[in-house]
Amino acid sequence: MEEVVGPLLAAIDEQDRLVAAVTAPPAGGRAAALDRIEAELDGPVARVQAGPGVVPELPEEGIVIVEDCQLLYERRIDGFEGLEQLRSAIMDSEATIVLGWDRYAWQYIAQVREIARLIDHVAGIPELSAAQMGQLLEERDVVEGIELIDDRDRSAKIVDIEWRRVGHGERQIGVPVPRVDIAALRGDMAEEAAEDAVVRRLTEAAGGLPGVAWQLWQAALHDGAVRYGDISATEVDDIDAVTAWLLYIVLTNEQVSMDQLDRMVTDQDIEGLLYRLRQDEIVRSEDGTVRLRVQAIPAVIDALDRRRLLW
Amino acid sequence: MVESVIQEAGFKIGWGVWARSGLAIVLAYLIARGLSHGLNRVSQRAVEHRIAIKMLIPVFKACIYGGTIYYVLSSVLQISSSQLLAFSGLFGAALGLGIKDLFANVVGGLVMILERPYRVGDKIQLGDHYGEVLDIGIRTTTLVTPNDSEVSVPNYLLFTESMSNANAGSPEMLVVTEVAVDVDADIGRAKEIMEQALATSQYFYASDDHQPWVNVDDGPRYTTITGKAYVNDHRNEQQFRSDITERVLDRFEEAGIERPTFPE
Repeated sequence: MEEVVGPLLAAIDEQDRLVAAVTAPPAGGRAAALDRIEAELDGPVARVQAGPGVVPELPEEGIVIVEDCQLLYERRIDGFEGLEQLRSAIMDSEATIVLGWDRYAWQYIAQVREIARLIDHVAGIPELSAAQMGQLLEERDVVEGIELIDDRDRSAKIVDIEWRRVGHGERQIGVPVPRVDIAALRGDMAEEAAEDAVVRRLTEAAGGLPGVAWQLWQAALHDGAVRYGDISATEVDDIDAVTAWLLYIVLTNEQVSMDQLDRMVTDQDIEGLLYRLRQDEIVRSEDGTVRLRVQAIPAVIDALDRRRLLW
Repeated sequence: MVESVIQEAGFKIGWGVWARSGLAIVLAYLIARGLSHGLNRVSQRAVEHRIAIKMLIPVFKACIYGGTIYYVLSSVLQISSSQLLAFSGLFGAALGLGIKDLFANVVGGLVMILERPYRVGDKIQLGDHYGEVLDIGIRTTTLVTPNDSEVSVPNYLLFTESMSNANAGSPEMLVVTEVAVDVDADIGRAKEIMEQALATSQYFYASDDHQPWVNVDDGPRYTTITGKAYVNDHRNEQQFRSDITERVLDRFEEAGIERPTFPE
């Protein structure tokens, strides 16, 4: 995070007035980065929250952090009013403004709305590597007193043969398809320590997102130990176009009400889609607000990326 | 007559030779089909690399069938240079007698492999036919039309007809959507609605090099609002156009933007 926050702080320090965007995927450390920026800046820093239909007032001078700017628009015709009001407020203010954005919402907005032209500096928080994840766990004393156990089956075959049916209708034949077990190959090739293997597994399952890693860690923690085999991420199977679109909206807005979903996913059985996604432990609904389950975020990102909904 | 020419040229073709040749061809066919099926399945899972993966299919097919032909001719038939000469004579005669169209198609197929004016997965217009390239064969190119029909287009059309390629190997492609409004309509608002309809579609794609834009064309009876934007996957071309048109027309009605009327 230092390599992202450091240059932003330096830019704020150097210039009289700056408009910046801090972007990260959901559970990707954006809140922590904004906390860090607030703590490191000299002088009073105002911190305001954007919301659906709630455009925060910006001070005329000083420094202000605006959180969750992705809540200010809906991806539909005439759904950008809140964002336009924020744009006007930015142009009317002389304050240094730091906007917190969901990464994928920002990538979209940067291509289609003029607010992107007002931004002087974009600080994109990257996913963590396994080494960075291990360092983070140590810094937060998470691993203190916890045993990390690599319980992988070393006897697993690296290459196995699977017979698959190929053909149309009744004209099918069995074809031998070699299957390589990447985990077994990696375990066989690399003599990594149990601690390294568990942290690597945690990082891979979390897609490098610290918030997801924390959830997976807690789910895998049993009797003072975290086992490699207990770290598992939610999987998202092949999804249809409507489900992908609904998940895209929930991912980019990070939290969305049923009314908003009705406006953006038109002419569809939203209740039915959400029921299926809740059953598959991909989304959760509370008080009429739909969010992704944290453990499902990497798989949803992957699925939407494959469908080219994320750029 | 042909049999006597073959015998004179020194061919000795017994049942064993036919059986081995047949087996090699059947095996090649099964391997090519299996590989094609497997790569198609893999390509469906990754839109970003779909076309790159699909491009491998004709390459693998060419290798498999080329290898099989080589095996049949060199190993099974054991053709010598004099036999090859005799075969060439027969081939020339056959070409003159009636397979020149087939030969033109084969040459078209070879040109396609070398010049690659289009690839598997591209959306092309070849002659009167428009669709996604499903397969490039040595004789024909198979297209899937927007109505989900498979059309086999002879490869020689590449020499005689114009050809346009909408995406040239990329998953995204430009889609043009036109809507007509009355000459007295609020053009500014109509343009704004079209812009937002493009940018908010679930099939929309944009990057620094792929930006949407809207044209306004004035006519004596109506004004045409033309939206141009990239679809994220060219397989969604029809859905993209339909989604934009439907939402634009809905919003025009809500905004009181009148559509042109024509005298009966």
